[in-house]
Amino acid sequence: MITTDRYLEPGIECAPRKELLADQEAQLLELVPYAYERAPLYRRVWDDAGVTPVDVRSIDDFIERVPLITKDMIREFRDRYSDRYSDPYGGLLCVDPKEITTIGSSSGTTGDPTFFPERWTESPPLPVGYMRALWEIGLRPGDSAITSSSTFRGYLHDMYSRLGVMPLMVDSWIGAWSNLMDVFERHRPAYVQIFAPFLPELNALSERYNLKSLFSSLKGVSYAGEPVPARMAARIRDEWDVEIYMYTSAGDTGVAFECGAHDGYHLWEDTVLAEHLALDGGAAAERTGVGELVCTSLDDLVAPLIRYRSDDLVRYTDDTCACGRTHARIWPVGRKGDETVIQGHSILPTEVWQIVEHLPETESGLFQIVRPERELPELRVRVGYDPAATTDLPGLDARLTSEISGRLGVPTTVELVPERELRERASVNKLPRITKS
Amino acid sequence: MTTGSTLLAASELPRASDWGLTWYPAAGSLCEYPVSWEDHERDCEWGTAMMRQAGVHDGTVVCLVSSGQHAAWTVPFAEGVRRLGGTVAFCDAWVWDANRLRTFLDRLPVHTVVGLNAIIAKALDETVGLAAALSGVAHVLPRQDALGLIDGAGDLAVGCFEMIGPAPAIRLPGDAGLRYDTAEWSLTDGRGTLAITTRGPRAHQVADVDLGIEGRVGDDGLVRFGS
Repeated sequence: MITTDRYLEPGIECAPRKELLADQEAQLLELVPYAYERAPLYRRVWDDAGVTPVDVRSIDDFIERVPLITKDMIREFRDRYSDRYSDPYGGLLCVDPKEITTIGSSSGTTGDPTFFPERWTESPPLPVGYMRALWEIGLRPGDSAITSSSTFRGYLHDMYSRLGVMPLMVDSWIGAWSNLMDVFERHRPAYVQIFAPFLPELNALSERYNLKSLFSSLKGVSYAGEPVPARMAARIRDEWDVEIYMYTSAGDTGVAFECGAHDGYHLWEDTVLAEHLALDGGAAAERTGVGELVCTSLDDLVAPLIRYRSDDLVRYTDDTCACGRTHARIWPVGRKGDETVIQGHSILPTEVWQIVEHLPETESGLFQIVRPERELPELRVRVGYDPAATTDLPGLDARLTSEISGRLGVPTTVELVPERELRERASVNKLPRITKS
Repeated sequence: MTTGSTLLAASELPRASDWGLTWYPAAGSLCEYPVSWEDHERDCEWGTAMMRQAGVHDGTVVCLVSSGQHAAWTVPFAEGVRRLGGTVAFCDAWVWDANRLRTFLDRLPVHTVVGLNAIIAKALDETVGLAAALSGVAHVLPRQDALGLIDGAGDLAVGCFEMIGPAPAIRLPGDAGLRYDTAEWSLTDGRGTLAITTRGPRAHQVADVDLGIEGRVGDDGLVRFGS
C-alpha cells in the first residue's frame, strides 16, 4: 500500500513516467544550448562531432547525436587547454568563477580529484539531494542524526536541520565509535552513516556493548562505497536489528539511495537523465543486463555533466518500484577497469570478496587485489586479518590460498596483514580494491 | 529543479530546535555543547568580520581543512566567506586529503587556507614541499600543531585557527595573539590553563570551566598558547 506520508515530494517521486520524460526533455532542450554557449569542453567535443544545439530537438536526438564524455577527457582538457588557474573545472564551467559559492571534489581514488563547483544561496545542492532518501528512511522532525565526519563534498548538516532533525556533530570516523556509544545512549539518534572501514571496529565493540539495545533508536543506517560484507550485513540486520540503506553516486550528479523495498537504488530523474549503455559504448545495454551508467545532470547550471560516462557498471530498470516510486533504479555491480585477467580467466573483486569474508579471521572482507598490470600469470591478494581471531597465521594463509585458487581456478598468492594496517590505506570511505603495489 | 522543490517541501516542516549539538574537550572529558540558531547566527556574523579582516571579498577563494564534528567552529568562517561573495573549497583533515589540498592549491587562486593541520602539512612537505605548495597564498591560518612546520617553510603570511573549548579563535598574520568573540565568551588564565565563561545569551552557559589548555590571556585580550 502506498501512503503519501512516505514521500517528501509525492508528486515528483511518484510522477507518471510520461510526465518525468516530458520534464526531462524540456530541461534538456534548455541545457544543450546553454552548455554549448558557455562550456568550452562541450563546444570543442560537440564541434568535433559536428553537433550543434539545433540538431537536438528531443531526448532521442540527444542520445543519438551528442558525444559521450569521460573523467579523463575533463582532466585532459584541464591540463592541456588551461594555464594555471584559468580553467580548473576542465572546460565544464558555465558561470563566472566569482559566482561559485562552494567547491566539493571527487574522491580522487583514480587520480587528482576533479572539482564540483556549486552556486547557492539557501542550501548547497548535495545535501538537498539526500533529503528525499532520509525522509524515506523515516527521519522526521524531532529526531536526531549523527553527522558525517567527512567534509570533502561540503558540510551535510543542513539536510538534517531542514527536515527538523537535530544534527549531532560528533566524531564518527574510524577509531571514534567507542566514544559514540555514550552518544547513542544519551541522545538516541535515528540515523548514522557507516562505511566499510568502520566494520571491524563495530565488531570489536559488539563484544563490550549491547549494540542491539544501543542501536534500537536507529530508523536506519546508510552505507556507501562498496557492498556490505554478507556476514556483516547479517549481523547488522539480524543481531543488531538495524535496517541498512545502501546508496551510491548517481554518476557524480548526485546520490542514488535504496528505499525500504531494497530492490535497487533510486535515481532522481527530475535531476538526472540516466542512460544504461552497452560496455562497448554507444548502444543501449540489454534491458536486464549489465551496462555502464551514463549521466546528464539536468539541474546543474554551474558545471553540468552531459552524457558523462561514470565507469560504474550497473543493472537498470525503469519499472515502478514496490515502494510506488516511478524513478529508474540501478544495481551497482562494479567499476569498469576492475577486471583482472589471470591466465585468461577474468576475476572481479566481488568474487574474491565472497571467499575472503567467509573465513572468520577475515570476515571483515578487507582485501586488495595487487595488480601492477591487468593481465597477470598469478592472482595476488593482500588480505586483512583480525589478530584477535587468528592463532595460526600460516594455517590461515594456506586455507585462504587454497579457497581462492580452488574456487576461482587460478594460481594465487596471499599476503596477510593485520586489518588495522589495511584500514589505514582506506581513503574517504573505502579501501581501493585494486592496487598497483 | 529538485533543489528548489525539495527545499520548498521541507520549508513546511518545523526546523530542528537547535542548529546543532556538538562536543568539546575540557580538562580530560568531553563537554556537550548545544548551539542555538541565534548563537549560530551571531557566530557567523563574527566569522564574517574575521574573514573580511583577512581580506576575503567577492571572488576570493578560501580552502577550509576541517572535519564534520568541528562544524560549530568552522562553519561560521565558511559562511562568512559566502556572505562576502567568496568561494570555499573543502578538504578533510585526514592525511589522505593532502593531495586534495595540493590539487586545490595547484589549480585555484587560493587566497587563504584555514585549518591546515600537522599531518597534512607534513604530507605536503614530504611530497611537493610546503613553501612551493603554499606559494601565492596570501594568508595561511593553520592549526596550532602545524605552526612549527609552516613557520619554517619560508616567507609566508602565517596566522592561526584554533578551537579554544567552545570558542573559535583566529590569529591573523601580524596579530600578537588569537582573537575570540569577547561578546560571547570570556577567557581567563588564573590557573595557568585557560578557563572559559559564557558572556553571550547562548544556549550553552558555563562559568570558569577549565579547558586544560596551557595558555595566557594578555592585557590586549589576545590569547597565547603555552605557559
